[in-house]
Amino acid sequence: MIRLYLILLFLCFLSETAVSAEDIVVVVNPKNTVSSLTRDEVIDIFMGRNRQLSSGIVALPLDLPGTSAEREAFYLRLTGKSMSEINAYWARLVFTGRASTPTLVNSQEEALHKVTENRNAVAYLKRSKASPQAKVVFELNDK
Amino acid sequence: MLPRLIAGAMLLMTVSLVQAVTDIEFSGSGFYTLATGKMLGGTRSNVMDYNCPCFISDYAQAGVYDGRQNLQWSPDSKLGLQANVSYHNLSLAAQVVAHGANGSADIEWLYGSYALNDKITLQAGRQRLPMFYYSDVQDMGFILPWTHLPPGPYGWEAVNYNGLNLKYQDRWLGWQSSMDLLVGSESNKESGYYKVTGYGRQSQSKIKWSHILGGDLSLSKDWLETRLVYVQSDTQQDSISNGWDFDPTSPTYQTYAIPPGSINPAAKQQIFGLTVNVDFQDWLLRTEFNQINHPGLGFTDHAELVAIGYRLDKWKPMLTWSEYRGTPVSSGLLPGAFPFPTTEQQTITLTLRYDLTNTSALKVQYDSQTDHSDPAYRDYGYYLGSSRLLTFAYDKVF
Repeated sequence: MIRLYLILLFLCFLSETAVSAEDIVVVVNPKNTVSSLTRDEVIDIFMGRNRQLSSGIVALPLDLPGTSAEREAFYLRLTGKSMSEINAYWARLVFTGRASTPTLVNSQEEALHKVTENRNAVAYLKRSKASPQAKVVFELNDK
Repeated sequence: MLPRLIAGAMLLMTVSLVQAVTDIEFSGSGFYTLATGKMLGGTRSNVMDYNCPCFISDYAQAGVYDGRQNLQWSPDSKLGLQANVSYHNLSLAAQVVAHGANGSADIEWLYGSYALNDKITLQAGRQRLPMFYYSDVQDMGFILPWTHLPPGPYGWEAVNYNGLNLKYQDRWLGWQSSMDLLVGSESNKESGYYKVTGYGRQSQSKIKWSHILGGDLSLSKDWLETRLVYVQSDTQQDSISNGWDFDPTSPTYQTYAIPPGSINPAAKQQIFGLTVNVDFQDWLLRTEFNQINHPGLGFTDHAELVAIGYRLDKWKPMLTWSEYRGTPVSSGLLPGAFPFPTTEQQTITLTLRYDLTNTSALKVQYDSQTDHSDPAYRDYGYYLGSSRLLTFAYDKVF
């Protein structure tokens, strides 16, 4: 029984490592004329700041669930802050009416679906989850 | 034909109404802090109706740890609930906070917002007065690095205002910027501030800040964040317990140091503040420098804090130095006013935070406060002396 737990723990560790080692990409609808975003622009979009893209479109950022490993990896690589710090940051903005949070989606598949259907949507995904129906405009690698 | 037209119009109206209703978004959120603390020692004396050594943790709500009791839960414990309703560019927010310190639930925020565009938002209603960096979140323990705010810099009589606020945010030359311009007024018939600084737990005082006008500018880039603030207002304070009121024709009219019988306009004050914060790799630096001028009242306030912390995975130790100084001013006094003796209190604070989950944290904190105020305050019966306090807090947002 103990061996089984150890194997499960090891598998969990492997899966965490796999998530954290894989690139996270930011994707938009192919009809969006933006070809790439800078790190500052991605921070602005997902941290409740300026959401107007250079194409004139107002971005609709999509967030994965709070328990998602991809969400944790995305914000850590983008801002260097832990989820606890990101939540504190958002609590401050929300409680003081300074900004609205990104729209919550349940999974990367749903995020991708919304991006293909809505030209304002901006989402982050593991690179392996991206598809030709969505345009990659920013990349966050593990380094 | 007519019935069909009416039916068509009704159908169109119903569809429009349903569409409007479905566009309305409701959301709710909240936070709480469960905190307990115990005085470890300090100067033994009776100050007003407090049994010191005592530590004022929240001036606005009269949160005081009393030296001759065991674990005390009320000074820093609180529960806040917030509701938001939004419809396209319009939104309405209300926040009620129950403070253990005063045993009551108060509406701290109640305002409407209209987003003119992605950068400019107009807000009207009741909001926090943004005098200091953490003013807007002073009740939200999870956001704060401490179990309670450093009392020196954050110990003021008014923390809210009713009025208008214009918010602007943009990116300038790579710097994220935000700016607020505000006008309004504030009155409070049950001031916690004067329960702990002037008249005691059982007293009742009212304060009135009128013609509030101010603004702040925040600039941040990478690891650096700066903030400048300026607020001015007219101020009045009256102790209802002593039978005074705001009527300037009344023989008992009083404005701060102006003796009863004087007829003067409310005293003016100017608040200047500078914040410089650094988040460099795992190091954190928090600084605030504030000065409040009260031309005519006989003193100028200085309030500062410097904190250095280190991020160690889920742990965050932080060392904070803070102080409040009220220094006498003898020029430009209003008739009847006189320079106040110097008030000076310094606090060294050691805090250890542990992020239990992504939405909750545990903290333990040790505060050591020393009082270097003019001995004349002993004659007035208001001299806190030194104090040492240990607090534990569990903070949660939901």
